[in-house]
Amino acid sequence: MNDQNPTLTIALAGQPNVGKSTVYNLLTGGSQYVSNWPGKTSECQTGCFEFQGETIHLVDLPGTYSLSASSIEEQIAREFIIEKQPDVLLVILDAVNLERNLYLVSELLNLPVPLVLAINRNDLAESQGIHIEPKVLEAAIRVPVISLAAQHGESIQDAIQAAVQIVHHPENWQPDRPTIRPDHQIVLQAVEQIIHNQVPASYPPDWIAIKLFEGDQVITEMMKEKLGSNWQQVHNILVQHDDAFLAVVGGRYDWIGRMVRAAIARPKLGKVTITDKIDRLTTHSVWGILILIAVMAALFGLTFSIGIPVQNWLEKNVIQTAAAWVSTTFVDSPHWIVSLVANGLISGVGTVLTLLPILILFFIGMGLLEDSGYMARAAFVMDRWMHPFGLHGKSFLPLSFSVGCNVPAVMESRIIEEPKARLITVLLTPFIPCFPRLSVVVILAPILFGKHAFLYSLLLFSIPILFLVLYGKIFHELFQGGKHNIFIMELPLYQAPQAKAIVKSVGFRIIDFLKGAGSIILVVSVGLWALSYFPGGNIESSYLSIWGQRLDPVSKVIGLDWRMAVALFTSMLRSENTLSTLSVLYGVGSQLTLTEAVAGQVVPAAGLAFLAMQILFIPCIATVAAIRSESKSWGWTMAYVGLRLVTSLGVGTLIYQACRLFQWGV
Amino acid sequence: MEKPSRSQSLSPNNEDQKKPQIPLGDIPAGQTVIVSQFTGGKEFINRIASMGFASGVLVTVLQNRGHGPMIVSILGSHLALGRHEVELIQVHTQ
Repeated sequence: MNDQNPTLTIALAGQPNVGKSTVYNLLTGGSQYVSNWPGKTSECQTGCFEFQGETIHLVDLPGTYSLSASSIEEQIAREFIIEKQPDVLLVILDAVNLERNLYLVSELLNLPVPLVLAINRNDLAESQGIHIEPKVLEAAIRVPVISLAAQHGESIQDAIQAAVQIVHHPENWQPDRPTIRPDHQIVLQAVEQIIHNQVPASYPPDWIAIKLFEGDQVITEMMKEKLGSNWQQVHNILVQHDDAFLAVVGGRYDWIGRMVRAAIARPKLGKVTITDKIDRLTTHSVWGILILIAVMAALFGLTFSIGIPVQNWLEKNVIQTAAAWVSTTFVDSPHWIVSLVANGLISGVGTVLTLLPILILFFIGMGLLEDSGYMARAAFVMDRWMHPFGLHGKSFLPLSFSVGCNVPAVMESRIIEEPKARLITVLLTPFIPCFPRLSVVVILAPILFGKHAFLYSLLLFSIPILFLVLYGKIFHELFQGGKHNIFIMELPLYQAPQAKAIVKSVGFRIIDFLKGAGSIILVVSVGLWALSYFPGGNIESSYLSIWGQRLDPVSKVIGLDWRMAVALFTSMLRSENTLSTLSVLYGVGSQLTLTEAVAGQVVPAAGLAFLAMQILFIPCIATVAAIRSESKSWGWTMAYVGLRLVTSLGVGTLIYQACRLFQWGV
Repeated sequence: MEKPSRSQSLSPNNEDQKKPQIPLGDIPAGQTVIVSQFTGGKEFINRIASMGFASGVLVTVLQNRGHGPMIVSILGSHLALGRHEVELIQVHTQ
């Protein structure tokens, strides 16, 4: 990769949950977090260290079960290996399920990068009666095999030594590679022959041919384009030999079988481990759900009992103090500048800042659930309840976190591997109204509906759920053609969560949030401030209010008083804003309370329509920013904002007009 | 001391394939069976192959309620599989 100075690039590869990140941390001093949830490292982390006078760049690839293109992680890993061509791959294998781990190795061996295999968690395997002989495995595969105990930092240096050796002596690299089963060798060669001259530089032709048999979408598209009219020839062979890919997969397992035959001894019967015992409860059809409810209740309880007071404290003592200080200190400056800083910038920074305590607590909770291994069990228990939404178990956690706050929930959609299923979850998650939105209903319902408040609140809460199901079905049809999402998930062994790992995971997520959403929140805050300030210098005479009043005849159809429309828009800054905007616009103050104002000026029909609208309205900008950073598409983000706007106004109109028709509450 | 058995065979055996095929979803908890073949798309077979499902591999059912997802143990790890998935995996008895 680099011949001028003694620099080597070693990439760490491995399946999820094998202790790859622990190895990375030990070698680089740790700027990466460990995770017990499959596929968490979705981008490559890079670090440096010195080894015997050479600088070594260490790249931590995402954990992947194979190198197909079925998940974003797998695409990242294989593109890195093929296009960046690291000098050597250090593959971390889990001793407890070595055969399955070798499946990834069987794929890696067909790429033009040498490997060193490091078997981790031998102690755990031994305790389960699994005995592995690294030297026998090494002799079989003809690849250096090192026995490792990453948790204790032993023998990692040996692994690096072996990796450096193989880079300096490439002539020693002659591994036993897996091949397609003999009955399909000729077909494979035929395809190779056709594509041979058209394969992009760094890609090995035999690997491309195998991927074509596997039906790999990314590679198929790439070769279609490269081959042009010659594609038909390849296509014909592929159609004729549709079963060839079973020979590919079978060939890999034949190879694994040959490699481990003498190298591993397993007890006839698996021992009942602590994990098995805990799982009997956590995956039980009744206890499992009860435990999940308890865990979620604890998470929400903690978030609200600590997070909200801290949030309020920050709001009062930091944000408002800062805004007040700006207003009093710069009295001589033009009023709009003072207001821009105090109400636009500080409010934007405030949105980010006051979200932090909630986010940190949520991320700690997620870190605990992930690192302990419990999260996979929660997904398992909830799987069957997620199917009505066109989703599966893994989408449960983002959806449930939504009640607390949409922002971490949208970010948590990353746990879903399949890109389209991930996008669907990103878009559906914010339909669950967050606590501040629910509280608007809780506060206004008694004023509007008196003793029937509870009933109407329930009705209002069920509206977003209805749309969740409806849009879930539509998105599923639209994005995936109704295709079933494959649900297969490893249940990792339970482990005691490591404080260090959780602190790091929280740090990474917060940085992610600030990078992805911070600037968007600031820009939109200033924009919305401008609309609610100019030209009059206050919200009552601002563009927002002027436009609101001008649109009054239109909004009368929807049942919206212009003040309510303005309140909806300001709720985008922060969901908590709805009530305070209403208070300002209805002139709540010395003579009037919000209760009196609303009771006196809003009829129940309009109130019901308004509450339905606010629960369905465009989510707050922090959520919109999170949707943008997770979907990586402004197109989807804006389409989504449009969808929410139309849904909200549509439902509001429907409710209001129906009420008028039936003469209810008008 | 009794020596533990060597690693199980990972390649299919012609004799085994003549035995009656049952979907994995029909196997009650506690039973260990042998994976024989799969139906379903290439993407599905790729995914489950990378998680340890290959013809000839032993799989132990840990939980099966007859509906909803089930839990199996395969090649040393525990996997949760959706109901739809377990109907696509054919197994036979040992």
